Amino acid sequence: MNAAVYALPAEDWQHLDLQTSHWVETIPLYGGMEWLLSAANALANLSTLPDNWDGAGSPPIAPEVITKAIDVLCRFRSAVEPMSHVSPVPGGGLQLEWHLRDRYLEIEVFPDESVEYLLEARGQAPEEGTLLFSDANIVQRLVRQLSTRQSG
Amino acid sequence: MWWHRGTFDRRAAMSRNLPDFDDPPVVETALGVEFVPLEKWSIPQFGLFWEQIRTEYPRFEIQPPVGSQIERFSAENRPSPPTVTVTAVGVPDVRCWFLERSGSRLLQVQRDRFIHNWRKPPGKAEDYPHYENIRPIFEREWNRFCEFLHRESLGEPDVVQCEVTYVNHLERGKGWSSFGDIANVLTCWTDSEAQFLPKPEGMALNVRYAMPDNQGRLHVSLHPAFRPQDAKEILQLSLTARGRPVSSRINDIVAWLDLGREWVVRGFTDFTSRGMHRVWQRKEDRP
Repeated sequence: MNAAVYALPAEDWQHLDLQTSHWVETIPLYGGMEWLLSAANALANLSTLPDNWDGAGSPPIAPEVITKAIDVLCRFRSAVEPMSHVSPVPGGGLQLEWHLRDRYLEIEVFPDESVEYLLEARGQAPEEGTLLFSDANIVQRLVRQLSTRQSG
Repeated sequence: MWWHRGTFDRRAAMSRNLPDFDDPPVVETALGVEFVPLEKWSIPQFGLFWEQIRTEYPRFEIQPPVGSQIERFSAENRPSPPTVTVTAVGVPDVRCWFLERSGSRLLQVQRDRFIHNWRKPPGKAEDYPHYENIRPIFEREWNRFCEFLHRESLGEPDVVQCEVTYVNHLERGKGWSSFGDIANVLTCWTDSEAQFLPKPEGMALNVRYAMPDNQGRLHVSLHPAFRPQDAKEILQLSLTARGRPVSSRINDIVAWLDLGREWVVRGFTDFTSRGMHRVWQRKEDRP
């Protein structure tokens, strides 16, 4: 196997995200990533909702649903725009929302831990579907929607 | 056979006089070796090796390979920058994770690496099993890997470096509550008598230490992080010792791992404050 080897200048190599031998997953909290922590805390606080929290018989939010929602956040961590709002959904789900000037993204985590999304952008037809983590393309595309410059 | 170690047991000696803690913040350890890439190693060999260990390691994951990070020493004692390998054609390099049944151990294999990781399993109150119990597992698994290479005529690994990594998680609220408290955590950080600057909003540190006689280096890094498994904010303090063993024989590999582990443990103890040692319940120094 032929391989080309390039030595980067010293000022560049320190910025490379080199793979490590670490196993335990963590996400560094700098470079604008701090919103992730406050968003995760907001999600975690919803674990204290009691049975019948909506007066309509909804169950508490299951820990697995909160874990799944945090997983969603982690996959959207590189988005420039932080999550705007989170709310419990009757039936035991969670809804995560990003409100931007000209677009809106809503992600709902259902009690069975399935995930669906709704994207509305000015001048475009709304788009909705199932968010499969195994499909990296769709996650990347939605993250781009939260990161590209908004029109005036 | 050439890879079997002798009967000399260093366990008692290797623990003597090293600092010890009843409740250490370690969440992961990794013992590994880097060797000259095995020319005959390709994708099928991952499956053949998995067949040998599958009963203990029933799951696998494919990961991007870890880049070579050889410690080099020049006259100025500065590390060389890593190189980036871009492969235009051919089979891409991959790393395979073989996950042990309990969820607390992992083998990582690629054509120039063999690494054994222990981690605190998510959601379980498993204590750190200590190096004395982890190292024999590494030895056993490395021997098994070498036996596999020998049986498949894949060559004998020419080990160029050993590596010991300990990852520690310092949870916010356990000894520190803001970045203004870092001087209470680290011995190398003092509260400046700042006239102008407020308390820091965030911080990250990378420090490296050369071992005597070019035996290797200890890398220490500290950065704030988010731990998704329980949504906690932590300071991740990682210590990695790397260096070249005298030879590829298991005795020499283990001797270097013992040295690296000593540097990690003593380095961790020097790097962190007595106040944090109380939080982690440091045991009385042994005679």
